[in-house]
Order: sequence, then C-alpha cells, then structure tokens
Amino acid sequence: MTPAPPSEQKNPYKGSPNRPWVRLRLAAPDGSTVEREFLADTGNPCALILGQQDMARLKARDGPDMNTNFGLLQGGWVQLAMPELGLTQTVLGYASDAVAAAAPASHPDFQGLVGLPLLRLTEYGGDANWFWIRAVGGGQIAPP
Amino acid sequence: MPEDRAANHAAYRRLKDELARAYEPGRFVAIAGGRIVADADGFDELRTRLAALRKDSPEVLVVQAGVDYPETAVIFATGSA
Repeated sequence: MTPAPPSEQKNPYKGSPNRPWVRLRLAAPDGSTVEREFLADTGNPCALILGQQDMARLKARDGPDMNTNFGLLQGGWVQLAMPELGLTQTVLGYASDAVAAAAPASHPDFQGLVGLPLLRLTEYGGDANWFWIRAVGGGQIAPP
Repeated sequence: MPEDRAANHAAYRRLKDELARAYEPGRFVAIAGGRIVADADGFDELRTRLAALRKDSPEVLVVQAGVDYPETAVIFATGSA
C-alpha cells in the first residue's frame, strides 16, 4: 500500500483473478471494533455481506432479509467506525456463510463483500493497479 | 423474553404498506413482539428509545418506512453457490 492521506484508502488489486477490495472497521454493540477485508463489487446490491459469526458479534439490530442465489441473507444493522473516511453510519448489512465462504476463493484475506450502497457513501474509483475510496460528505445510506 | 425473529419479519411484511402511509419516508421503525414499538428520525435515536422501553435485544427488527427493500437479488461477484 502506498502512503495516502487519512481521507483515502488506496489498495492494490489482489487475488486471482485480481479484485478490488476495501478494509473496513466495524463497531460492535459492546464497543469493540473489528477490521475485515471485503471484496468490492459495484454490481452487488447489498451494502455489506458478512459471515454469520461476524454478524452475531456486530449486529446492532435485525434488518429485513433477502433471498439470493446464495440462499437467504439475514439482514442486520451494523455500525461503520471509520471517521477518517466519513463512514460512521449504521448500515443495513447481511449475514451469509455461503457468501463469506466464497469470497476467499479470490483471495484468502477476503471475508465478505461490499456493494454499491456502501461504496456510494464514499468517492470510489480505480486505475490499472489500484482501487480507492475517499471521504465525501457522508449521510444516511441509500436503500438497496 | 427472546424476540421471535420470524414473527417480527412476518409483522413487517404485513405492516409494510401501513408503515409507508403512516410514517415519514425514511423514518426508522422498530418491530418487537410482532408489533411496532418505537420510531425515530435516526437509528441512534431509535436505539435510545428502545433502551428506555427495555427492548435492547439485537433481535428487534428495524426498518425504514417507505423503503422498498428487495426481497430477492443475485450476488454476482463470486459466482453462483
């Protein structure tokens, strides 16, 4: 990773095939935080998809469920904890062990997916070698 | 008493249209015990209200009024399960 100002996270593509990704810090209701790397997919209609165990730890409240080609995704509101990127909202995420288990097929560091509703909370982009997210104004997440 | 997740989700499906009519778009609404128990402009405010009602369980269902959450979707990135 090259040096970047605090309001930007710039990551080299990684995995096979190469994938864009982001590292997110999430706050649990007990005040603890966890960091995870997520494969970034603008075609994904879910802000965030985590494994069931992570969701159980991080969930602030239940959210609406969604049926997908990976089966049922259980909704849950999770707290972003990245003020340096303007990401401090509570967002509607989903729990799915099937998705969380599929993400490492691209790279073992990936522990889930982020989708367009979360990326839209930032200014995101990429070039031949890098994918980045930058802080913007913030605000409530757009519905999926 | 533990929340009945299925009952809360069934209540949400039943009350979805009423929520859209009765509340400002985007207002956060909490469903517990199969009924609406609190509402607020923001998530943190709703959490405070739920705590005052001693409904602190993470299994309480929270939705935003008027938001049409998709019930089905295709996750492309990692292929089909």
